[in-house]
Amino acid sequence: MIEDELLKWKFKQGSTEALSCIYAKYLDGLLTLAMGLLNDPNEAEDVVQDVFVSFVKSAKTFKLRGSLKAYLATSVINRVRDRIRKRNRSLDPDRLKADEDWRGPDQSLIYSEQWQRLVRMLGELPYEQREVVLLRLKNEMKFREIARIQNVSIHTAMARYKRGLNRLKSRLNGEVEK
Amino acid sequence: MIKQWLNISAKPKTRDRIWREVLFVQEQSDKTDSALVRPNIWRIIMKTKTVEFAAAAVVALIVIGGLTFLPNKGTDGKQWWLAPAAAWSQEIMAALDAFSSVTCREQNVFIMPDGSEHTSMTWDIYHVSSDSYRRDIYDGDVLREIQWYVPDAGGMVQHSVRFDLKSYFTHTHTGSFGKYDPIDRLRFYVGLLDEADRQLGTKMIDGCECVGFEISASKYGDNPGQWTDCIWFDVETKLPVRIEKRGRPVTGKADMKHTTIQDQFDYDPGLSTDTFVPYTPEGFVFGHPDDIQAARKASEN
Repeated sequence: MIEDELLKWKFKQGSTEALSCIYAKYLDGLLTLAMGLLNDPNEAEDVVQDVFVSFVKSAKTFKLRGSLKAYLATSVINRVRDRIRKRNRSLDPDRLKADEDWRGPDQSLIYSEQWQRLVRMLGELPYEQREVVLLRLKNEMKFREIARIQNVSIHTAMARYKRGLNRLKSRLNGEVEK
Repeated sequence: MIKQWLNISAKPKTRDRIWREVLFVQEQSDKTDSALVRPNIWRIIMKTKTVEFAAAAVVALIVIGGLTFLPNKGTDGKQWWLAPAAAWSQEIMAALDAFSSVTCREQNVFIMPDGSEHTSMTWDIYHVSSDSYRRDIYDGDVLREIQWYVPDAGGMVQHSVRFDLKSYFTHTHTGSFGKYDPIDRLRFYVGLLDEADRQLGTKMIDGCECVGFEISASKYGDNPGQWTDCIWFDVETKLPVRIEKRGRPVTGKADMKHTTIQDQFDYDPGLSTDTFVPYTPEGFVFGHPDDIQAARKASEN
């Protein structure tokens, strides 16, 4: 948090070094979030690139007082929602089939077999639950922040998380723990 | 385990590709900054009815009287700051009055016995609204402490969080944070411009051409004549960009002086509502910093 406060301040002063640190620190986390929600490496890359580009464009007017991590994650969420709305897509068997294509030698992201297994199961969750699970587990966001992003009460966000996690656990036949 | 599995990373090629794109956008933004920032400041100024009216009057004069209008110059061809302060300070006052919040940086520069200067490692960022105040204190690159002063039924609540000690302290007291209010300070100095001892000419500060005025501290109190204050204004926007309080003594060091500088003013920065909401990170213990430090020292011995 302290480090982020400094990075934000330096970034606002136009520091490329600060931007580079923010990029290095959050790129993979944001890609994981985008991939977990979209289940498509190309789209995930586009979303994360959009997020960083917008972030850079906002440098001079950047007024963030809260968590940088939450801000970037929220930016990813908003763009993912836009894409989903536009394409009205869902993670159906056809989408999952596309997973096989990612494994080619030119794939742009590195992920494990466990990841592929997990992302399939995430894809079976309702979108809101998927969001909460990823934001909480991967981005370690507070339920208060997640509730704000989803425009629901904290209790609803917590309930979504619990239901989502339980479904994941049961799908993984109990071999997975939080 | 789920958490461990939730990990993917970009290949170096992908990482580089996105980074190049981001860098390109940053470079493009830098090129257009000067064109973008100034209109923003101008829009801020133009929010005030008084200034808007004054601007309309100037335009009317130009149209009706056929006067040659040049930016930053008066009708007689001189720079605006060369006219008596009374002619333009009210415009600045009006602009300052219109701001509801401001942020700025404060740091100290020590003047050593040999004349060399040493900037203190500790510096502050102030966030001030009409009734609340927050001070972020940094030690070098590290945020050491945040202090909030927020109104409460019983007076002002002061809430401090010390990140280095992992502690917090809260107490309520009467009074206000007036002496820390940068807007009050700016208004104070602008009000004194009529009595400025000298004009310091122009110089570049943070990429802006600025004009400075020096005022002896003896003008506003029983202060030694060698205490001097300087205020610098952006020649384009006329907004203050820097205050310097020079020649102040250093406790216990008779041969040293220090200068307190407030700069990087950001007017009406659109602070989020939680800027002035005190918080305490999880696991931090309650106690006055002196007590916490004393207790830790005692436990170490």
